[in-house]
Amino acid sequence: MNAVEGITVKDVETPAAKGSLLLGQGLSGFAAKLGVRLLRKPLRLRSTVIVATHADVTEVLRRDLDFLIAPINAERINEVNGPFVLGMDRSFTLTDERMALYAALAAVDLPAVNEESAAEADRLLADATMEIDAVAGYARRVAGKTARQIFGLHKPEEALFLEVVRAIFAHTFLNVGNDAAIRERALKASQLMRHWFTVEIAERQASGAFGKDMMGAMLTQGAMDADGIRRTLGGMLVGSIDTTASAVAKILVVLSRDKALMRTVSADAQDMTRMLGWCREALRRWPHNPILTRSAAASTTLNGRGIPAGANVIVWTQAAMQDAAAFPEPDVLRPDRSARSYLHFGSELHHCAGRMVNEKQLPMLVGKLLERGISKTGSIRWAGPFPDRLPLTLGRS
Amino acid sequence: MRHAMVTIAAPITVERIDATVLQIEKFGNPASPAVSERLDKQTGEAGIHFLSLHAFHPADLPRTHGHIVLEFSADGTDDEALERVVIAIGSELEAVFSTAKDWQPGSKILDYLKKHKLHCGYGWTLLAGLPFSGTPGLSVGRIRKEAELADRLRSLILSQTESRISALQRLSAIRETVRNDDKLRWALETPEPIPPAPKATTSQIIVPLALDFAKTYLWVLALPAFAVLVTGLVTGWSALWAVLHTPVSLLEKSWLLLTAGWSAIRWIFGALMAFAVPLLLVALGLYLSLRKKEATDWTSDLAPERSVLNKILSNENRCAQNHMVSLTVIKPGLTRKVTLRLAFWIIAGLARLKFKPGFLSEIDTIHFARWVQLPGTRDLLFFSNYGGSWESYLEDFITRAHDGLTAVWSNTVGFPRSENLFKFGATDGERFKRYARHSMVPTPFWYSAYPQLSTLNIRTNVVLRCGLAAAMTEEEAALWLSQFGSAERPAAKLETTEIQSLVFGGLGFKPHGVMVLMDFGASEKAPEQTDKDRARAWLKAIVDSVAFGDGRRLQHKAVITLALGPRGLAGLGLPEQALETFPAAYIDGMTGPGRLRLLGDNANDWQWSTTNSYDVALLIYGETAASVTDLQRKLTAQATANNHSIIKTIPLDEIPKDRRDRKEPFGFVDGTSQPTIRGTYRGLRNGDPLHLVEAGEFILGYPDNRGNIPPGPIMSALDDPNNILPVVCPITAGFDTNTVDAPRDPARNGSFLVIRQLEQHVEAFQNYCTEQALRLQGRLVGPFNVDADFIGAKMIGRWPDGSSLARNPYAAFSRSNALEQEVTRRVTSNPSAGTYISSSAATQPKQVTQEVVRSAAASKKITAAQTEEYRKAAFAQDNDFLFGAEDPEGLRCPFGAHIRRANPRDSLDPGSLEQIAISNRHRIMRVGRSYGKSSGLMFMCLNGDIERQFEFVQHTWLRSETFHGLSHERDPLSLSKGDAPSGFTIPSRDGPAGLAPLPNFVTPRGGGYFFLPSRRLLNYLLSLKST
Repeated sequence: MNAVEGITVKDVETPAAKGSLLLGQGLSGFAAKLGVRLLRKPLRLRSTVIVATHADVTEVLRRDLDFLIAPINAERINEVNGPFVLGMDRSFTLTDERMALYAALAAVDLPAVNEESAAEADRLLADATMEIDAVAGYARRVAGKTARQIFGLHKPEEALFLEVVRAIFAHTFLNVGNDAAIRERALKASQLMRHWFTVEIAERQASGAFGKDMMGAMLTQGAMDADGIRRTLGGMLVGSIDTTASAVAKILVVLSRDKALMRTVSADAQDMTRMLGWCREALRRWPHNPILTRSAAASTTLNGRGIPAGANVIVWTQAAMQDAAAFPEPDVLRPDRSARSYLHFGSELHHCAGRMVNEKQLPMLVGKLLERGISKTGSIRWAGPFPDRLPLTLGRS
Repeated sequence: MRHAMVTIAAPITVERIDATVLQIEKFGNPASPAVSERLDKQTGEAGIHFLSLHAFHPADLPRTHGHIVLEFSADGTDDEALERVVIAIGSELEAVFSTAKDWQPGSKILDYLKKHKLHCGYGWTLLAGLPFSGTPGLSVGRIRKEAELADRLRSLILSQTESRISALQRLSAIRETVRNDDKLRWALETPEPIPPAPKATTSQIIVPLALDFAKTYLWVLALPAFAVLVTGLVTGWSALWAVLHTPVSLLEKSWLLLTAGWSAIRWIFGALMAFAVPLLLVALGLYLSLRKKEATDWTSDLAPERSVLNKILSNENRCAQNHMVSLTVIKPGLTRKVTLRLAFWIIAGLARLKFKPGFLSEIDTIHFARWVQLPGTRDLLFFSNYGGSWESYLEDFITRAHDGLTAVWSNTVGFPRSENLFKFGATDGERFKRYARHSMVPTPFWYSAYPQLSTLNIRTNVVLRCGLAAAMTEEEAALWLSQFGSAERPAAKLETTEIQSLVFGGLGFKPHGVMVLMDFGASEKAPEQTDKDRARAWLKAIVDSVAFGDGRRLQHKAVITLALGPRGLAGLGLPEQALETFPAAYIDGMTGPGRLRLLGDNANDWQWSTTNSYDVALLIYGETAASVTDLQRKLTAQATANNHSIIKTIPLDEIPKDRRDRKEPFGFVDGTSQPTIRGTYRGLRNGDPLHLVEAGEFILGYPDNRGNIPPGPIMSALDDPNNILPVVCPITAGFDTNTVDAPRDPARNGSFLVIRQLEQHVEAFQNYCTEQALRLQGRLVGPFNVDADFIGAKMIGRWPDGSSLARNPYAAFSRSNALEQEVTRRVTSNPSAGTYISSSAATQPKQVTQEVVRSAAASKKITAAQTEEYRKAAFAQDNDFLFGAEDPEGLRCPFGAHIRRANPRDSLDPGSLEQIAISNRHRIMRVGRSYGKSSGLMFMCLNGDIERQFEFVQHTWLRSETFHGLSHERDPLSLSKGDAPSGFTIPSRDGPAGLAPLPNFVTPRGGGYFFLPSRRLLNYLLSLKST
């Protein structure tokens, strides 16, 4: 029995927790609105700088040589999965690995994947009678299935697979305070994920049947060795499930708080273009990720404000998406706004590659629920920073 | 990496100065190898950039002592840098400084130097001075490493032998070499960024400057201001307390509070005035004093002493850099003490807030420079380590940064006369140079860490290194390659090799042609069912024959113009989301909703598909009929092999060599000499502003006539994983921002091609003209000669020979009896108008008029050869007329004439340049050819915007019944069978004459909207692989 075989769901499960005020929609939304009005220039607090306007935020993300990502998360990423593009700054390695990742993703037949995901959503909704858990019983499971199809991991048992991915995500991208328990769970989970990918890649290489998923595309391209493929797929996988589940939960809560809005959005349930617009807008009120962080490479200036070398730059994307300069009448939700202004999945060099999947998956998941009808939306139960449960009562009210 | 700019000055008795100079000279200028070797040493990447050592006689006489001055620019803090210098040449320095007046035996050189370090600036308490670094953030180690890297990269690039590979592939090959080289691998990581260029607005400059001013100069007022504030607060509080405790009614209390408040406001205002008024008075006094002194100060005309000059010259131009030391004397008095500091304050502020890092205003050749006032004197030293010659350096100051230089040096004795501190002075170039030379002192010892590098070299090397690691897209790679002996392409400069050749002209030098229309797969199949791989296989087989570029240097005897319909683009793999961003007119096609009606077409006459645009329209043009047939055969074979359908093959008529013979089926010369696109071969040589339009009118991705780049199709970066396509945002040369995630511009360098197969009923046209001529011969009398040509000319707007009615109202130019007089008159009155393309001189354009004018003027007679030359030229030249200005009433060219409708020029607002600009927004680039042995015209035109250009012209001008105030009239050549009877009015001095209702002369048989893809888009499509 090797080391990973003894790891169970309990070892890697993210425990339930009370949602903090900061995680709630009300306070974070109010702070974002206030923030973007007050912080028209970057605010410097010793070695921390907060940027809130859309122009400042996009400038920070665009100036990726001045504002680095590696000092923020490379250590944690490397620790659990090995180097991945989201922990690298612009360099030859990043160029190579990013290109390989994007080429492999482009080679995946995403319409077919989306069809299967939609079928899975239909199945889960059909199985539900009156009640469904929009997170654990719906969005996470569909996102998990989508991830398995794209990244090529079909063998691991579902519950374990979902918890492993969540544990790694929690540490890699959200464990800013370096909590020891979160770290320990992630390290255990990463052993499993490493094992799964290594075995699968080896099996495919041995058989010569590479497959038509992303793993298959990378094996066919031959641009990276087995470890590089594992690192890249693992890096993408960890962000692919709970991002979707969190987003779905938050969109539903935002909609449920405004009955007129819910009715308007429900009328567009089958129009995926408008649904995508509504999802983006609802997330603007309560984004699945309100901030990004960067580190100043050298002493520099931003919008006339001096920023010292090594400063932690808090890129407040939630506030930027309340900036009237980029979102006229920001309090109004409009599904026809320009897609290029949104920052839900970051922007520029480290723009989330999985957005291509989520832009299909989110409207599909939310649309199908609205089509079925939601008569009552419960409260979110949290697991660490993730929405873990969201009970819904189905049917027209 | 921060820079230390240290200056050390120690007093020395005058008697010892010359001996000390001799001693310093032993170290060399440039520094001797032994000294250089020690100064070259780095601590990590930190080192000494420049260093010089001097012993100066006092300039401000009479005095008993001069100064030994050591100045250097190095990496790190002042102390770190000083220690590095002492470690390297401490013994030499000790030998020199031990001659100083205050050197104590047993002194430690490091301590001594630290003690004599000058603290300069622009505040009241500091010695006046200002340092400037031209390479901020760059260490010696980095500059050297990057120079070595650049040399290596240059040799790698120059040794590449592959041709026709993309810039990204070229860069990738270099990277691979670098990755395998242990000594160079470090370069694949991006370096520490250099300071970004400030992007401050005017207010963002003024406010910090004002705060800095207050902090630097007004701090002396802080104590009195505090005292006034405290007094005010105490008094105010006492008054408030008293009011609040006064036993009166609430109303009276309120009144007392109001009066107290008013008193407080007056008190605050008074206090402010107490500070402001004296300050303003001081400023006014300073200004008046300055102006008075500027009017009366002595200016020097002294030439430099020959021996000193020769010594300076003997040290100059030994490497890529030079060192300059100037010793001047600050003018006496408080005024100049203040204005000198103010000059330094403003230059320092602008360098921080406005100028690009490393630039002093626009001067970019300075490595390190500084002004320093020597302690206890009025001596002002200027040290500069600059690139290039002294002459070019001074010229830069005279032409590009004279105001800042004048502001400083006008405070020194003898400087050329200035005004208001900043004006004139250095602009008096020769006097300024004489002043500067006269003030210079030979540099006895000078060291440079990288003597062969200019600041431009250093900056380019930074970009090369950064781009090596950071360039990610094809455009970024191209930009990186341009750093090697070329330059960044300006945004508006055409990428001619990316643009299909048809855009630059009708390819008349390939006179034989055929049009092939084809579909990928069976036409009834939906786009998603087409076999993309087969489509790409076909494209790959033919792509080398597609003609790209401006000019005639095409490699093949026969070439292809490849035009794709929307299904063609989808069939080759352009993502659906990207295709949806193409204009609706293109996607819907010529037969799309409402478009048949808009264009006046009748579906029953249509011989092309009225449901779908064809996937591909191929124009095969060749030098010979055989070459066209050969290429056509190859294309057909490839199409058949890949299961594609050839829908139609339409032979095009051969284009005659002589332009005068190039006639459309009705018998009119059909020139395509205008419009011309700015920046093309023709546009650069034929600058007639009437017809010169911006590239963006026809080529996507460039500024249009209004200076805007119209929004075009876009595509997600995710769909271009190999980063081949151009991006929609500008790329910065320093690679400091990335563009890899920016949306792609798949249509850049492409153009929309409109094709219409127009069958012409020649006999009907000729019969109608003859009938109407007979009918109107009695109505329109002399000077008109009403014959069939006349009627045709009135309907078309030109005579059959191509000459315009606007200029030739009574007869075709070629039939004029008074040609010689006309030549003389026209060329004399407008000798510079237009250029022409001579048919005899192949393609070489030349100015026709000068020689003719000279000849005509000299002899009042022109030769037969000149007449013939001019006659030929007239066809191309007769395009510079203005309908509105020359024929506002339509007496020559009727309002309804075809060419007046197709391009009204200024007709709708005679003489208005704005109207010409409006008309030019609707220009089309005609590139059609006749087909079917003159049975019709395969009308083809290029557009940047089909709706604004072709469809607008067709609907709003040609087919409008009310164009120009007409009624029930349409363009004679654009009538449709279903149209109401259309008349045609011929205005004359004797009242209007009318033609009988016009029959249908032209029947559209088919057509479509296509897109001419760029080379890059084709490469992108070929790079795609099916899942």
